[in-house]
Amino acid sequence: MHPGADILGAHARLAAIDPAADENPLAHVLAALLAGSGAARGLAVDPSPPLRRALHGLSPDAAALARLDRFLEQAGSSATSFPAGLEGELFAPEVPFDARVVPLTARDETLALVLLDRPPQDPVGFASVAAHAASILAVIRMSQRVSKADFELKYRVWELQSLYDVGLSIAGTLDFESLADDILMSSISLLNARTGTLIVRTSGGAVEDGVLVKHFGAPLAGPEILSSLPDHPCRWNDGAERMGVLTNAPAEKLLLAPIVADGRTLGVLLMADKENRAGGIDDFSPGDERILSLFGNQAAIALENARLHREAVEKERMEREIELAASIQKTILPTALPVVGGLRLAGGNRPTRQVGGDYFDVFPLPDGRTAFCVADVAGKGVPAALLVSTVHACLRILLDTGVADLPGFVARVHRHLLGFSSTRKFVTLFFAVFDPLRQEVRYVNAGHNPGILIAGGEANLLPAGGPPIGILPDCVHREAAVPLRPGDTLVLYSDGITEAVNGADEEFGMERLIALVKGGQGEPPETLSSRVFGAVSEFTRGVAQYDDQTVLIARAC
Amino acid sequence: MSEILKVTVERPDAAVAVLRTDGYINNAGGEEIARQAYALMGGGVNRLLLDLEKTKIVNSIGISILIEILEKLLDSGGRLAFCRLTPTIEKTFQIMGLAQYARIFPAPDPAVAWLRGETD
Repeated sequence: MHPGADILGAHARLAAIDPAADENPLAHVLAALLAGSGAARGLAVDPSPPLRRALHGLSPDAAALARLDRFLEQAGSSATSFPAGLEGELFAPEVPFDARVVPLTARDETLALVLLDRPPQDPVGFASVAAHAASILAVIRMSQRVSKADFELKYRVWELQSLYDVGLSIAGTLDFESLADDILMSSISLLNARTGTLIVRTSGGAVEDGVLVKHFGAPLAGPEILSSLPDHPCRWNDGAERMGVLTNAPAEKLLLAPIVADGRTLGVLLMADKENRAGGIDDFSPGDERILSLFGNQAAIALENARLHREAVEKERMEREIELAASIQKTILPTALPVVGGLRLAGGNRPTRQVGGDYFDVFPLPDGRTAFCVADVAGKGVPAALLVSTVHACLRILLDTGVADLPGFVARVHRHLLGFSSTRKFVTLFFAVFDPLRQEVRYVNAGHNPGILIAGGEANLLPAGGPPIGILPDCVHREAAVPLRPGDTLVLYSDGITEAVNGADEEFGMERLIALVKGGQGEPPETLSSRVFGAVSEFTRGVAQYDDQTVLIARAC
Repeated sequence: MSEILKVTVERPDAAVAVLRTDGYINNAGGEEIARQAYALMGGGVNRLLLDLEKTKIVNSIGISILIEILEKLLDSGGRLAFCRLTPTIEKTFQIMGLAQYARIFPAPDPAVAWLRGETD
């Protein structure tokens, strides 16, 4: 039995709907339309996703409802009627019927489709009820859209804020591991991913050398992915063929962004399964790819910062060490040479780095003789300087035991260095002792450049009498002796002088040095020493040199 | 922390419930919180504290579910508070509007006091 139409009652029902709070406005709209039409049974559906429906007095079978849902999914908000015959299925077994379809629309959009089991008794009055109902649904739709737009706007702000925060973290910390956590978590949050993995190669910087692996949820990949990383983002939706190492990753859909720093692909950010509110999984979109790439870039910047910081710290530490070593070495190399009997001495050292591997010294002996030497330690920098200080200490200590037997003395220095130098760094040494009574120099040249003796206007070379010390366990050094009479000059030097190179990659060479010292016979040794350094500088003209330069000049007087 | 959310409920008194979460507040996690919250509301408890000490990650779907819970609580004259949020989650709640109608506290005790109406 059908009730009579109640137009005023229908309007009152519609007016009672609270668009903001009512959980099922469609049911109230249907009730109002039933009241306004005089119909007893009906159905109202909202064709826009997610599908909503309200039924009154009907109990259609599941097949009929499934057919209705399929139709609405296809037609969406453009549907204005139901498919032919569906009314019969929905109203069965209450037949015969005289159903009417009432589309509630606003601006060409169907807000609801209403099916009533009979035509309205008062068509004009019902039309006003339908229009009222449409306006209510339009307000609700607009409210939903505003709410959704508001949420999306806030989501964009959140997205930007997350990127900004990660950027700030990068600037404020060098703890890459903590940053990696932030980046992974932020990526998962913003992309609505279910799980995620970050894998990055940290060799050459960042935390410890090696690979940093972070997972949230089931691991999507292991470090082996680093051997086959793409240099661009990738999306694998709906069974697209994945790269080999991701074939068995526990995810339906995957998104990958490489972490590229300084042109090198260092790692990867992987996201799995973007969830939706209905409990399903959506495809990763190009926008998601963009977001993940931005986080990948942030990770790359953080890695690069950490590397640069580590290098800066290391450089600062090295500089401090070098400064310390340089200050120690300054106390080792003589600043002024002693005045000794029968000799005028001059010399100097010009290191190519703040500390170097050259050494020279003069030792007045208790018996009136004078020992002097030039040595060159293999290598440069702090390790070489340490060995120089060892040679210095060794010579000082062993000289107290006497140098009557010159090869024996050098052998003792050699044995000491063998025990000290675990890295097998060797030392070339020209060690000489001048006896003013005999006007003679006895010397051992252990692998060093030949000394240059200028006597009677002639230059004679004093070649090596054995190998460098500190490297070969069994070696013998021969002693030699040459006269050093008043006016004669012995010039000792390191290979930094003869091997100094100019812009044309030519060496200063022995010939230039010999000519120079031969021509300086009439000059004081101090002047000759300065002239040697000056000539080398003139020759090299600012070209960076890689070896220390040392000169020691001894002239008998 | 697991990506699967666990919720434990504590009742400091008849009017207030504390829901402690451990894990990811995503769709599944949010639904679990909603299930527990609606069960409590069905039993007349509409002053809820969500203690997120063991939650380090939340996504937009989880937030939308929390907003739904908040709306229902407000409709019923209830209150919702959060405590022990990570700085990131707190900032996210501020941005997404949750902090506009729910209160955020650093620790559970002042939150429970506010839910009881003992403090402003």
